[in-house]
Amino acid sequence: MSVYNFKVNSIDATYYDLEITTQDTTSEHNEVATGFIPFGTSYLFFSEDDTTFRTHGSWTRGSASGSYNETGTSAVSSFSPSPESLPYLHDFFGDSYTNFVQACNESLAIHKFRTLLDSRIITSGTNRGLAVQQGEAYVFAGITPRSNWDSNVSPTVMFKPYDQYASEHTESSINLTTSQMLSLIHLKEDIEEGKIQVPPELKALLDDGLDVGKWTSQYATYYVNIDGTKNPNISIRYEVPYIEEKADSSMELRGSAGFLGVENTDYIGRYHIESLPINNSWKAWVEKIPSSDITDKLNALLSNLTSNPSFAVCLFFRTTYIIRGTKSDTSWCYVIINYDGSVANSGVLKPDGSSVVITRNDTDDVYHDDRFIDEEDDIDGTDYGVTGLSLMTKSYAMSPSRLKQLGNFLWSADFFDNIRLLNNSPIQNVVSCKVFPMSISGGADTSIVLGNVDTGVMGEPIGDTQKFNIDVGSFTIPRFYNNFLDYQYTKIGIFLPFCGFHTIDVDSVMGKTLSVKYFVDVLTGVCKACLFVNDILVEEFGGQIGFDIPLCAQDRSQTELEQITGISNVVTSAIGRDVGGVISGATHLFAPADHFHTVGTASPSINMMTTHDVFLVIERPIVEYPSNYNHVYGKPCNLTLTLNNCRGFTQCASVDCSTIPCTDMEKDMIKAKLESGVYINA
Amino acid sequence: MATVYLYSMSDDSNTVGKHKAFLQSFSCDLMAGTTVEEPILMISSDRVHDYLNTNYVYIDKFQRYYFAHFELGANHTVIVHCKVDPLESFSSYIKSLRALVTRQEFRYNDMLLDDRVITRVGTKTQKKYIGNVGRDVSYVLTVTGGSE
Repeated sequence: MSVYNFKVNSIDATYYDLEITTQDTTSEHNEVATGFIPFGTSYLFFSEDDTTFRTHGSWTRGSASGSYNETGTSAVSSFSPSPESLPYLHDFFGDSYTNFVQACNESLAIHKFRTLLDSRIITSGTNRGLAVQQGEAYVFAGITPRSNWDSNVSPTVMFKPYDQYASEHTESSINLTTSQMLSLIHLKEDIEEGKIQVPPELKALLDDGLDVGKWTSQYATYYVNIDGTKNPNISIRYEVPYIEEKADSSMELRGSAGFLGVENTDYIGRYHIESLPINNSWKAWVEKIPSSDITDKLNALLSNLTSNPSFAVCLFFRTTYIIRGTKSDTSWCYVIINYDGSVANSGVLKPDGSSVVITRNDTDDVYHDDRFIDEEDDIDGTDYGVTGLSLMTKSYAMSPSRLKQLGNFLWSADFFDNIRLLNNSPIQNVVSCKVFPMSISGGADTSIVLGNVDTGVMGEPIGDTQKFNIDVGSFTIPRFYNNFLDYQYTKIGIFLPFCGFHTIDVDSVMGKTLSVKYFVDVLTGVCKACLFVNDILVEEFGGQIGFDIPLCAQDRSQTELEQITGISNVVTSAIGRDVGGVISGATHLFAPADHFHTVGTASPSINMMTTHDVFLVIERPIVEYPSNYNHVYGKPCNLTLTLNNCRGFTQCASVDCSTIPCTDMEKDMIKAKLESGVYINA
Repeated sequence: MATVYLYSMSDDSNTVGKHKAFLQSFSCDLMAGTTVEEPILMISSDRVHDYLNTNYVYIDKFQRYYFAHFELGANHTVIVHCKVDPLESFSSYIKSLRALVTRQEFRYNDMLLDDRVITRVGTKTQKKYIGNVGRDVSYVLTVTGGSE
């Protein structure tokens, strides 16, 4: 017994893209095929594996109940649509897909292989034609009216590339037949070379440019433009390059829009436009319509399209190609747009070559609508550094032990080993020594040179830009109430070490990802904390992150100069028998004045002592709604609506009652009532 | 002479499309000087079967619904003070109006500020860690000379 399981991959008015699994319970064969079963025109196409039919042989129609018997064996059961198929089936057939089931079952009846062709000769006959797709030729035959489906008809359809299986399936008669049928590709070329003889009508098709029977798999490129400042704010332009612009060729477009909320999914609207030009633009204005107006199966589709983004709008397009007045193929495109205007997801439902291109041509940078905002222009996000700072100075990353070594050097008493210091004070070449609260590393160790004195103390040279970036991290600030309370009564502050505590704009960051980056100038110790929202720089705060460490050293040049001066004075005075001068010189010689140079000041480093963590402080309101709030007070709507579409508490503004045939007093009463709030029953 | 239909109505007065239970109808004369907005009926008391539940009338002559208030008169009469209910009388017109709806029970935008009856009872403070600038200490010495 063979069981057929059908899974509908896509469906439209003309074609079903099915995945058909056959299971022969009487043998060990379990095979899979994919193909098309057109509805109404009745042909079956398996594109994948001919071995699917290996165990079945020919088929005859079975009982009137829709079962079909395999000759000599047992019955084939009806198929059961897979759960994944149901949205498509419902979309097309509504709640009843019995017709579809029947169509598929009947298609099994025409699944009957017969020898149609003798070698490479196409015999003339009814229900045969050519299909051509981008230079590749296919032959089909046996498009048989449904009324003729019985065992005496030989309806068979084959679409296969030329010789694709010619050498593969020769072990059985049926596959030999199949391979013969498949040997019809490169048809045009072979016909021209006389290898294939074709009847005049098929030859005419070739000469006519093969428009008739043309393979109908078209594709479209959808350009979806989002502009939050315009109304309509979403425009669709599609290009179908494969179809020529002709008077009898057009497009049929269906668009559906759905709203993905946090808790529910609402249908927004549906558009159905027939006979559009092949390449056209289409615009949609998204207006939310309550769930009570859902008339489509969009919800099911929406649930399959995305992993539940919060606050998104899904646009769903179906274009049907109409070629020479006949509906051809369709393609499906969807775009899911977040409320901030960003695209959460997009794509095509049927892998037919169609694609979706999201464009943003906004030129207006004004926040306009409560749902969409403009896209930002591209801002250069490069982190630049000032180069050339090391032309005159050089910075080294130092460890504490090396700093100590340097200090020892500066205090070195080894006069003779450092005779060159006579002409220089090395500490005057120290620009700064700073401590930073983060790890800074430089290049390979080199000896620190002060002025023209090689200290012999090693340090890690820091790069030329003298700049460090710290990617602190990011945090997505979640909405808590998913309503205005997340904005109006919520406060957000951020603590930025060394830059202070700051309040940030809630509207800018709520529901978005806030990332923090520090830029540090090691030369001055100045830092700048930059806040990015969705990678856009929104705020920056300055501070001081590097703090001076005072260095102190003996000014050896002065000391030694005075020592020399003292010696000179002693000698001179001695020669001149100036006792006082000798004593004075000796005093300078043996008790030189203190000459210390201090570099840097002990700058306040109090910020080092507080936390180095960057954190947010979010203050959210706690509210209590009166019971039955929506019924008694309603909630803000601010939509222009026909009141017949409203139920329950409704409050209006600026009501025009001029069309109501009543007295002025009654008009005033109605106006007053509507403006103070009424309950509308169905 | 007008035909009066008596109802029992339980909805709020500011309801469009009221639920009402028909009780009885009869013909009567309108009192002189009555207006279409506030007509007054005088009827024999034995004509009204259920005073307690009758609070709503429809007068076909005016093609309007009215809130009814019954008052006992002399000589076994009942005076019915009526006040027009334009919301019900013209409900079909009202429902076809297209207007700016500022507040609605079911169709609303949660993102719009609702400052009507929100009661704030407190605040909740959250602290969210993003990262840290660094926990190490580094020293940077900048000198002149020896530059490349």
